[in-house]
Amino acid sequence: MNDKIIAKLKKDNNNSSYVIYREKYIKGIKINIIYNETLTDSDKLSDFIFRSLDHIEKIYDENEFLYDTIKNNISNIKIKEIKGYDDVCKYLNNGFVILLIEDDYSLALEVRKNLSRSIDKPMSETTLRGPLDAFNENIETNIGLIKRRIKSNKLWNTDMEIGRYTKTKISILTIDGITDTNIRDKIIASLNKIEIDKLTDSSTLKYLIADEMKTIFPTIITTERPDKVCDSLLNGRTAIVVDNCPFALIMPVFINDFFVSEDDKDSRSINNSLTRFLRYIAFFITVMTPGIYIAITTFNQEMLPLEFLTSFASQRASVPFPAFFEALLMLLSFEILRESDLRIPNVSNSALSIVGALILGEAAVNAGIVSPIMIIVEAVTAISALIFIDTEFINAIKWYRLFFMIGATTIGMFGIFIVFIFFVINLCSLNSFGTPYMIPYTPISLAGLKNSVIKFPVKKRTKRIKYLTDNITREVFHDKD
Amino acid sequence: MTKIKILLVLSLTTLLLSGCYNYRELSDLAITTAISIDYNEENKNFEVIAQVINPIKQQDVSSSGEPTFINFTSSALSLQEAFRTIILDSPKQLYGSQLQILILSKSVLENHLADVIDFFSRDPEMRSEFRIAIAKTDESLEGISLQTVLDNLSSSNILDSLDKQSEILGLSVNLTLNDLTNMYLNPYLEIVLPSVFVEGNINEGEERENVTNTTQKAKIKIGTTGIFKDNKLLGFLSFDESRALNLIRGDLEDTIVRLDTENGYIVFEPNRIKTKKESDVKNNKVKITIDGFARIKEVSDLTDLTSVKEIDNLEKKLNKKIEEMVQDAFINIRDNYNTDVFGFRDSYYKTDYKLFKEIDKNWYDDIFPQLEIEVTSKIKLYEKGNTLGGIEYEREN
Repeated sequence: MNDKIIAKLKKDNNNSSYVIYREKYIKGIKINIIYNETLTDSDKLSDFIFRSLDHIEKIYDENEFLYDTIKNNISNIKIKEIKGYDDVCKYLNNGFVILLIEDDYSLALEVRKNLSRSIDKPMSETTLRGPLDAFNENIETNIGLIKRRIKSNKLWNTDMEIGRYTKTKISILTIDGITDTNIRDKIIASLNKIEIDKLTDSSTLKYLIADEMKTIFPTIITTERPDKVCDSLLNGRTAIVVDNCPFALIMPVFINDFFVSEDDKDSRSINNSLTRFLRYIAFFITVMTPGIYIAITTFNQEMLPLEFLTSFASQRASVPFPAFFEALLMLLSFEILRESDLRIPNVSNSALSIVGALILGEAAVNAGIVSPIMIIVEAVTAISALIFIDTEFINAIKWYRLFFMIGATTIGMFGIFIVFIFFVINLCSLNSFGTPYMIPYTPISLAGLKNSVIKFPVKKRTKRIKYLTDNITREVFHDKD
Repeated sequence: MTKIKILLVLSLTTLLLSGCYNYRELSDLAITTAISIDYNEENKNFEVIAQVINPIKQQDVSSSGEPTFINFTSSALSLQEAFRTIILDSPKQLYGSQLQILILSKSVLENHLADVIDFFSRDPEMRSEFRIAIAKTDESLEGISLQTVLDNLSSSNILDSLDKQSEILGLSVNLTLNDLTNMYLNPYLEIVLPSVFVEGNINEGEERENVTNTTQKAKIKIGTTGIFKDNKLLGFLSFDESRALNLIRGDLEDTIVRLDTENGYIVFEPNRIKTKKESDVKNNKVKITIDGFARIKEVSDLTDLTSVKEIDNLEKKLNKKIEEMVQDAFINIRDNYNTDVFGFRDSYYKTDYKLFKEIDKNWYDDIFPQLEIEVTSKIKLYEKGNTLGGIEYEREN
């Protein structure tokens, strides 16, 4: 029987040189030891498996069943009983060592090699204050980081395996009593319907559970910060952690979440409100400035004070392109610069920024390709976009920036208004897993408004958003005097 | 998916539509900031001058030696023709939205005011916010072509001066196209307009040297209010009359008043002035109440300003002076010009419609010459500058 399994395994993995087959006799009984040396730790293997087996050989009483003796005496915590060939494959590929003892009696013992890096600082969501740990590629570490923060039995996880080949483990995290389980059930239902070859990262999962073509705005937040995941969980959101990916997913998402940073917690509510207000201003600047500039300078010149108009006219005098094309040219060169800045290795960063600054600045003006005012407009637009950390959100904004520019160059200020109406309608009609995207603005949620443009002091923010959870009471408790 | 495709196709096609509606690049515009219009009775021609901004960088003005603005002149039988034919010598079309000031000659005002109002209010591109002024002499029409220093554009110069004087001096009324149209169309209102005139030699003023000298050889100045009757210009008021007219019309907010005393004078600055008018149609009388505050700006007298009694006395004198000034100005205008530029006819009409209808037929024959005003000034003196009395008074004591 055991020989059959081994023969089948050898055939299945094409005699892989990494799978090691060993035999050991305990008082005449043959034990087959199978492990994959790329996944197992040889120290653990010799310390805990082989040494234990030697010890077992000494104490083994032939009247007893060998399987039971090994199971009871082996010095390894994680022991799985396995039945059949499929289990053998599963555990072998997960870094277990398989002991085929007697016919149909087999054990899998974990001797997994630590293949992930240590807990590191967050790379994309840096903060000045607050915890400095980030997820890594190991799902157990990641859930451990969350569990460290929520030391309660109410943190529930639902595990799934996705990917015909990758067999990636995902954990859907909820808080019992707070989270609306509908979202979890919906996610499970939609994942059950899907048969996919591979799942190597959380970003793919994002589009497996949410319709990719429905909107250009992100309806799921990707984060590498465990503290952000914990906050979201305790506010009634659902989180998904994916093995082999240091980014967790949080849903549902509202537009206001892109304006909130983890750093805000460090800031006094009055000071922070100003920052939030600036972020909202920056949002409108980055979406609308090029469009408004085009509209004003090509259609609605009467809107400008005479001094501005004279100044703009003098700057535009030597530029051969229409204003729309000029703006597009600058936007393009900036986006190319940004994209290349992200892709190239760090060493050549400074060289690139020098060249970029030259192209986008002095030289372009001197050559008469663009006007200085357009450079200012583009610079303000580009800088304002950098306020948001979510790249998907920035990409969505880019589309609307373009729409505003097209509207402006077609019918001027009217175009801006028309596109703006479409913009608002689009945002208001969106939903993220069934909850409206524009919460807390529409529908109005008082609890949400207290943490939006104006941030209320933490003691005043006592309720959770009612669209997220039925359990809205007491996010913060304090004695009323 | 199809929705997004449609959206993309639509937005790409709209790109091709740009230019179909009202697309104009900034570099295609001849930004017109001032216009002056004259009417030549012999040729039956409108003669127009349009001031167009030269869009060069303001910091390059001194180095390049280019003028900051260019004047285009043209003449034709109609205003539209006159302005349109400017394109024959200008490479860009005139752009009127930023018009700041419109100067009209006496001949235009007398016979062709309706044409001008129609032309400027019919064009949707025109804003109605520009100021209108009378050219006191025919030469003043070219006043917009003078080189000016503090503001590179002579039109901005006139506009700012006109706006500021109405804020702090109240010499002249300050009117936009809407006000003029209203005054022209309303049968119960008479037209008043500010005036401008050129001081110095106009030919020298157009030279570049005009801005390199510390004292300008020629400059354009704001004059007093011109008054009309039945859309005919009657004349220009004096300084005090002009101010009193503004006061009665309720446009005066801040001015200075000199009070002559036994040994010298004291100058007050009444500010935050509010005027209330109450018409008594039956007795043909208008009650005018002036409220406001005043501060002392200059003292050339032995008055003891530290005494409360003296201050009260001064306040009374100031109010009396203002009352007299308004009363005198009114009587002068009523007797000399017999034109109701104060808008009393309109306020009678609004107060008592029925009675007004009866008396309106012979307004200028019987009613207006008999009209009397009762001025009550309640200006409070609240600030005297420093804790001292007058400097001379302090020296004596």
